[in-house]
Amino acid sequence: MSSSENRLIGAWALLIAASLSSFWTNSHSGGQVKAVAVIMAIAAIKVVVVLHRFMGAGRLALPMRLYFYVWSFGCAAMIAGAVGFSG
Amino acid sequence: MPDTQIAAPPPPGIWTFIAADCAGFGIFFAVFMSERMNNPVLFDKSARLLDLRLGLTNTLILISSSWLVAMALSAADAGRVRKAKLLMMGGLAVGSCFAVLKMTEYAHKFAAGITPTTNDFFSFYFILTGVHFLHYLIGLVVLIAMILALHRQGNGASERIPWLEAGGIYWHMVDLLWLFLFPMLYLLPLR
Repeated sequence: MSSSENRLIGAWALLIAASLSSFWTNSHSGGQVKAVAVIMAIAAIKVVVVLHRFMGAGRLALPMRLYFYVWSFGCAAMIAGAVGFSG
Repeated sequence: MPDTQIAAPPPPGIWTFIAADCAGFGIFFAVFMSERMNNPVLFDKSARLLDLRLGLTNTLILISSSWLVAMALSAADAGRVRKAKLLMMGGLAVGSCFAVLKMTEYAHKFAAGITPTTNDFFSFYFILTGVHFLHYLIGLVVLIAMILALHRQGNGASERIPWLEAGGIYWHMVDLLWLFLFPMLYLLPLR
């Protein structure tokens, strides 16, 4: 196994574990709205892992990289914020 | 032993396309959340009718398919054509399961009398997952084209394939968009 393959395996394991954590958080939230913030933070981290490890976004020019970071965390924050606002 | 690199660097245009598509979906997400704020009870009640386990399974499928394609591109980068082709075929096979589950889910909804006109939530549900599914279908065609290109490469063609990595990036985008669709549609109603 090359180091790049090992990194890809690590990223895959992280993404699977994070997805199962989201599912677990949803089922054990006790209806608390702050669980949504945790679920959306996990989603944003997963998106960044896919961008970096699978898509190779680390090689992009800084403005484009920033755009994708802002998009990932912006979407997650917007969704969590809207739930927090409306309940 | 690796002999030659197969995948050439992707054309910059693919990233512009991905950025634009993500922006479009970002607007979809904002409109959905804005409508949800107007009627959170209806949206939560309707979302509870979705099969959470099916949504999770589809998430795991897309992640695994995306990973296999990334592994294939890594093998292609090292000049291992046969390994790249096998991994790419694995990515296609695993990715195809998403269509089976999505069709099953749609069929269950229609059988239960739930259609895009049932209420606002389900209008959004069918539009968002439908547009994503269209991206997914295009992605499947791209994956098949990538496998055929690798097959030709394995049969002696020696030129680098400039769109190979671009095709992979597109397939990862399908996964990326689902990573937001899944929590937004399935996980927001806390259980």
